[in-house]
Amino acid sequence: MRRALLAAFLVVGCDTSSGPAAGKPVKVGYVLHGLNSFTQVIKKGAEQAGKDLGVEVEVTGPAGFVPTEAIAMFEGMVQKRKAGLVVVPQPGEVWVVPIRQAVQAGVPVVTANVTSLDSPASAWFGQDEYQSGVLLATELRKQLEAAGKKEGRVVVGMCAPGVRVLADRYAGFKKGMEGSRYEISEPFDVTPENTSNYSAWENLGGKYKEMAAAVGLCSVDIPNLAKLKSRSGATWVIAGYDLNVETLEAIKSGVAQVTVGQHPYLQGYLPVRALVEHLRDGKPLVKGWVDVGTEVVTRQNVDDLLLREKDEAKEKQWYADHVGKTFKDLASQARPFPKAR
Amino acid sequence: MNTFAARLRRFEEVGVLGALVALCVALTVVTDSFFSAVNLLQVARQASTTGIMAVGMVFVLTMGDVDLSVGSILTLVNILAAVALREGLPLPLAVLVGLAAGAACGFTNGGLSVLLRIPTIIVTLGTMSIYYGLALVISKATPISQFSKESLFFELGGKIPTSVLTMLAVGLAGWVLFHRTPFGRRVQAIGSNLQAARFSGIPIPRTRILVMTGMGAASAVAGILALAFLQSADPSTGPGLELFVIAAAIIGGTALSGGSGSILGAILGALIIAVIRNGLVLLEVSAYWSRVVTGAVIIAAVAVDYLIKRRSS
Repeated sequence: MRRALLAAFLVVGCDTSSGPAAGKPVKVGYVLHGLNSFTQVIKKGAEQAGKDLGVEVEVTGPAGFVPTEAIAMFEGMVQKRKAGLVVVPQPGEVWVVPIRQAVQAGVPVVTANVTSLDSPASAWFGQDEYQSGVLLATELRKQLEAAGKKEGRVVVGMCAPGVRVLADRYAGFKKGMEGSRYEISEPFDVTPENTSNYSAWENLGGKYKEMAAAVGLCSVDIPNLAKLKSRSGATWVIAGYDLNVETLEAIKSGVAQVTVGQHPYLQGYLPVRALVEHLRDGKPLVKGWVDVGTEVVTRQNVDDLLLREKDEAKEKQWYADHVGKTFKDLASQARPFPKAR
Repeated sequence: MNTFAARLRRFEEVGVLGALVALCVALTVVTDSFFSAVNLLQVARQASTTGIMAVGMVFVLTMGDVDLSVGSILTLVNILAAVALREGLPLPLAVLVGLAAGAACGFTNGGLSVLLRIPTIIVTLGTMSIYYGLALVISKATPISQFSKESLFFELGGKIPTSVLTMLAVGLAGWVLFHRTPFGRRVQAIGSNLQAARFSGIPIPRTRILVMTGMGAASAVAGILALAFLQSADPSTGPGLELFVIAAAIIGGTALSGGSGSILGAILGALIIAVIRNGLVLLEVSAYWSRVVTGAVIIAAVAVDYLIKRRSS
């Protein structure tokens, strides 16, 4: 009985063709690279796109950011004959073959957050990590100037050495700091585990008491740096990544100075919309890179961001307006992938 | 002098203590900021999470078992206690919820192992995933910090951090239990020779369940201290710690094959790991080399322990 039901489900509920299929229910799969507060926002965006467009979106991802597990989930989605797939291929290089196999099997694939230049996926919805590092450096320099710190050491922490995204952020950050009188450290391993991360920053704060700024390249860093700074009475400037409520509150209180957001909501919403517009409405699938944009948050604009991040209804409305204004026609937004640096 | 040397040789943890002292002396010589009260207290505090759990792990390893779920239990307790606080439960009750959850996780590990006759390493390989998954479900994979922090609980630490004092208290309780009670002797007997322990009437299932429950409770204590210190709970608190906990116990002289263990050694092992991490920063070792150096120093520390013990015997 169960087998019969499953067979019926596969026959009735799944679209096996890769082309436009007007009138048929479209089911989209979304494979995240892991589960944390950042990817939960991607999930929210993807599911909202499903609701707005009236399609079913199944979002999944491994708990522990293990690429092989994510690939297995992706392959499972292909077997389940999803009409189209979105994936966060972290790291991009190891995903080239699984994505190619899915495309060859007739499943259109687009990527979000990160990609590889060799990726056979049609489109990538993400930010230029290198450029985000440059932006972070540019804003940090302003903040350092404002704090009267015209020179000194800037200590950089990297929670997962070897991850391409973080290396790109660091390279961009160094580029953005070029020509200044600040001494930029090599990245220190500050580990992704929360208690170890705090300890690592504590050790760095003890070693470089005179540092001008502490820069964390992962979302776990700013909350821990803010606590450490408050407890130790340090005066260094704090800069980093992502828009956790704790991070935004640290900026609002003046303990942290700048963070860079990557619009994870859009990384969920836009690729699903691109697939649905192709599969259901018959539009050509977006090709190339759709830059979801980068948000630089300081004390000047943090109140608006806090309102948005704390209240789901406001977040939904803000993004609905933003998508309507900025991403009306996705194809026209697409441009060639940024060149390898 | 000879008497002192003879006594020192009889001191079981002489090897790991020697390795720790050697590391500290080396870092004092080559860096200018290692040997300060502030830094040493920080290192002790950083060791406390691993140290508290390593005390429980000594019992587990001595019994011939391994618990891989301790990091996930810490995560789950961390999240549960924060959710309890967010939902308005009074602090003591939230702490109690956390402790009970940790003990229940440990009880489940032990119970499943006994009931299904599966080695604990296999059971905890599964529950590691279950407990972490539950933490993700409950927290929706997002940090929890929206609760009142107006309590002394969140201002842990006077001159000596509370987590260090807790580690010492847990260590002392563990030492008494391990070396001075019939329960401790039963644990060692099970690990030394399971058949002999069975024939001599030792209640093996009950002892195993009690040890695993204690391990869960120790992980819960660490999870609650992490919540108090970081003032927020996050699913990124805990994962991966199990390897450092096991490493601390083994560095401290607890045999992976079971039968013998050292509570003091486990705490010294946790301190060695924290000193290595601190030293890597003070020596400005790059992120890419730091893991290589950490592994190499851990192996060197265990080698020093073996060498000193062999000479002593």
